[in-house]
Amino acid sequence: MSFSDIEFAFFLPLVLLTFWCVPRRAAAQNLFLLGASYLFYATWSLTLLPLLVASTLVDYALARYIDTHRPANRSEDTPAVRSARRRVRVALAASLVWNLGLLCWFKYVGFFATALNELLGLFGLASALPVLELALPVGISYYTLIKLGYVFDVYLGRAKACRNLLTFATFVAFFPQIVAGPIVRGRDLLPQYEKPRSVTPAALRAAALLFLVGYVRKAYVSDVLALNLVNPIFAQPEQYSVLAHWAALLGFAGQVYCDFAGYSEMAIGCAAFFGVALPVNFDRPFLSRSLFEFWRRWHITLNQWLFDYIYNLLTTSRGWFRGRLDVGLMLVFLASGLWHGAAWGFVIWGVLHGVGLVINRRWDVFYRGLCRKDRVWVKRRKTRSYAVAAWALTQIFFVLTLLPFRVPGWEPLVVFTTGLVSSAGQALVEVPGLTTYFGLACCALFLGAEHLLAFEPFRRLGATFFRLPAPARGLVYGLVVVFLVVFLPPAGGAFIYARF
Amino acid sequence: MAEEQTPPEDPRGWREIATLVAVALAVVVAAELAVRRVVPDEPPIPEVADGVADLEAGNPELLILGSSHARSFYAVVDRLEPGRAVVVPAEGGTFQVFDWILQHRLSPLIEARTPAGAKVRDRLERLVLVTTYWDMCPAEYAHFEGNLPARSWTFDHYAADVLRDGMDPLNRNFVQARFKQIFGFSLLARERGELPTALREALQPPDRDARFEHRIAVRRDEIEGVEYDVCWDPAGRAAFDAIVDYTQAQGLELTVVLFPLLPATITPKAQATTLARYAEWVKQRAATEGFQVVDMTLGGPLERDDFELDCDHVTPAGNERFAEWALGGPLRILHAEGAR
Repeated sequence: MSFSDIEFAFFLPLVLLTFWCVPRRAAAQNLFLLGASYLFYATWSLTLLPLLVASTLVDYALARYIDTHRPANRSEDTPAVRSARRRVRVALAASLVWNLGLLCWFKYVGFFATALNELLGLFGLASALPVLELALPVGISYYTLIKLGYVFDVYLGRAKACRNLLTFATFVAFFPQIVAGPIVRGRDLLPQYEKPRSVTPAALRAAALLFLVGYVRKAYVSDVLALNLVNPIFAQPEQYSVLAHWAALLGFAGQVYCDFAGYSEMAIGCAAFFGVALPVNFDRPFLSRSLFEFWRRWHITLNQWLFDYIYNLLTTSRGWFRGRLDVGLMLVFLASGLWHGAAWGFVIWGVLHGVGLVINRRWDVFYRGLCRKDRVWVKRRKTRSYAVAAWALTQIFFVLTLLPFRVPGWEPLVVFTTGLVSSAGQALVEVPGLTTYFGLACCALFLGAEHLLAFEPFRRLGATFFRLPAPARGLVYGLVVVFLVVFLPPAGGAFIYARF
Repeated sequence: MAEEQTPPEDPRGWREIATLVAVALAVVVAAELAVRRVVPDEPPIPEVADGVADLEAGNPELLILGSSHARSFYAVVDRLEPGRAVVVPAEGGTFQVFDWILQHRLSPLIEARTPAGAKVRDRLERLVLVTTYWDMCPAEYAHFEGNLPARSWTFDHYAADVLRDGMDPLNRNFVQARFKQIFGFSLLARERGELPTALREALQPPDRDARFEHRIAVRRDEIEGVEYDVCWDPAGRAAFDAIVDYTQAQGLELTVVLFPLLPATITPKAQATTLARYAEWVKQRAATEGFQVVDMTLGGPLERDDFELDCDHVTPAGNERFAEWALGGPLRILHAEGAR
């Protein structure tokens, strides 16, 4: 069951009403939320629930062990400290092996076996490795990172290990975030679970609005783009014109953004109903003027995780990686690509973004050099034309790199990429007509308005709306609901990021 | 664990939320009323559950099972002696669906016995199976697999399926159907997904003749086109045989009715291929297994005006004509012995 499924319309109100009837004690609230979260998870797969439970128990125990045995003074070099250091390192390694081992087993073993077999085939050797087709446990990519981040934080002394198993299990399994994030940090979230939660009218209002916006984004904008534009054109690109190819590619950027940003907003809104504040995951990424800015605005929690636990740890370590920022960037985005899925398209996507960020970093270094030589370069950087060029370059790069992300296989990739320049096809959309164009215009309006709200006159306009009397706002919300009921595509798609 | 904390009360805030919700609800209600003025509110169609309830409440002699075409038999039932027949219409059904309904929904009632061991429904003597060639299409071709959970399952079937497979697109149909049932009073909820078309048509009625011609062309393609190649689904045949076996095991007579199609949709090619092969196959099975076949595919009284715009289902007036004709002729056997 995902947030836009019909079952959730029954599940959420029931769980929410019961939750607020539960005695307002942290233990009681956590016990109820854990039960509801496991039930939610079981609706995806009952057989894979024990894996989540076992995984939680292992990391709870390892983090406790690390916390208990971590030397108080890490700079001391006595035999006792060395032994303690060794023990906690072993515990950290055990957590890494356990978490990454499970992730690799379920997500990558088939991919690597296929790749190796193909490689052996190139040399004329018989492919011998069996290719396992395992069901990917829902949310494993997310809860693995959540738990790993927590164990790292405990190891690095950034956080204390959670002493209460119920609290920790609730933190890991909390149903709004288990399937597709945001990838939360123990040090931010665990304190919230340790206290009884309550909700204020203002928080409830904000949560409901966020949930509604997320729902519109996913169930309307993302699905309308997918059904009316992206899916038909990507399925048979040869029938469509060059303009249609570009429209589909831009549409896919909008679709994937609305799909995941919508999910994240629904997750954050849903968590807030239960008095839990989850971190923001998207911040208008299409306004970004550099790739670094883009990745600070898109899937924020994943990128923070990758930079905190891979990039920073490597580039500030004492070993070979120290100071090798370009290598760090490449590794981060290779990991990001692989995290998104076990397919060459994702690997290529990751490599492209790694290279893009390296170029972006080197350009920044080069430009800073220019600025130091002549202050006129500082002024140039602040001009509108520089901003527009930087924005266009960033966005075009992002959109084009979505191709290997969306198109499976080399041949279709070449066909679609060629279609961006020249195509024998004439069609613009699959079903030309008022319904299609109205739907696409509404999507463009939504995305445009959302991004314009970042700019001052529009921001003031947005703020004015919230100062309107309650009946006026209620009227608008009612109209949004009616619009959704009338125009929502009847067969919406699954969340893209729930598959990762 | 920290002790209980009382949240700060903010009566103004709660009042504001109540106002927001009330006004938003009022807008939805106003939209519902506005839509009702434009889009006709058609009564819900009878479903499997209605047929099962009728069987549960009665002790009929005839059980009429079929797809949406079985709904035409309500006019037939109205002409029979009260309580003589029960109709179980499965919207979008195929033989696999009929078999499932028979095994899971009807057989407990058919086989129910009193504490003394006598059959509760001891008058039941005949099963009338209302079919067309379509019922032998494989489920993946007919795209009707979702209709079984939506229209035939009970909560127990849903729960068992979820426990076995988790929530999936198939069992989601059950929840969607229940959602529509719960909000059945609302056109907005019931017609979700269809409203833009319904509104457009209500405001700008389509040319009925043009649409009819278009649908006739589509139906001709359907019947004579790719379908006859795929109408020989092994699962469909097995389901048909299971129905025959079941009726024989229960000592019931079986009558298979090949329901009339709109004559304009039947091309010579369709007649010689899809329809002929289907009818021959059913008749061969009848010869082997000893059941009765009434082939009404052609030659009935129904004409163009007796069919709905979909060129497949019969209008209420057409149903009356059909019932009159059928009971006076090919389905005379449905009358009680003394009334024939």
